[in-house]
Amino acid sequence: MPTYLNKGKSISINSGIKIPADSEYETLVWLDEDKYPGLRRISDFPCFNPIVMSGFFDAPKAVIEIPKGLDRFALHLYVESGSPVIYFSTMENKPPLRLYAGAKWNIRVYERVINVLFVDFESHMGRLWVIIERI
Amino acid sequence: MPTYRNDSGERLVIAGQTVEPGQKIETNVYYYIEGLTKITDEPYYNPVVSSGKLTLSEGAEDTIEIPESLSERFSVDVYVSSGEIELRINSTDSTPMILSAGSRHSEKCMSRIIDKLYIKAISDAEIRYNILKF
Repeated sequence: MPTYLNKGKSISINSGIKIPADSEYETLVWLDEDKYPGLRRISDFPCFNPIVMSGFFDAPKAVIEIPKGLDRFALHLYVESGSPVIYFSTMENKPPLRLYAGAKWNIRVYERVINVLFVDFESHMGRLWVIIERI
Repeated sequence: MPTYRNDSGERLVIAGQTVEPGQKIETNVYYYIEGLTKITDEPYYNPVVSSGKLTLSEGAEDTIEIPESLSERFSVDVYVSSGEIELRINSTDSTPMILSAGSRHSEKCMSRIIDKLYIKAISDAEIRYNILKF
């Protein structure tokens, strides 16, 4: 979401939004400054970023909490080593998902039906990479 | 599918459903709304219908059954952690797939075209499988 300053006359951009002269405009879209004379990017921030969390979790156990307020998201799982057993929301919720070294797994969640993931590796060795992406 | 109670003292609309003060609502979704009190997390969402780890000695056989509750839209994922197996779909007379250590076989089924998987260990083998609805 870069921020632009309109130093020229009032202009309308593609989406029909009018940017008055001498005003700032924040948008998700990167605008072509050559196409809009007078429009100057004054900040690249705040930037669009679909990644909510990324990192790895090591054996023997891990708890991965889905950040509050996140309703639509994709969970990308990659098992670098070991055999993680993954439970949805509670370890009493069986059967679990059983992954293995080299496994890549994607779960798309369109409503917040998962609150937390509990990971229990089958042995004391193992590493699970997790990316949570906003969709 | 957590269960919530409306303790806000006012009428709330949750996912298009009106919830009067004091009324309970079961939903698939976790909500964070002021005045909405979570009573229980149960029953939980779980896309995994069956999963397991099989350890087979050379020559041993085992069967993975697709749960009867699945009539459509499910996936079967079999991974051989170690050893070598023959995997037959639906019948012991089917032509087998030979899967060795590190091999994975996945099937996405829009209808119940798979009922059982028959596994025979060619050598000592360890297998993990997941059956998921989607």
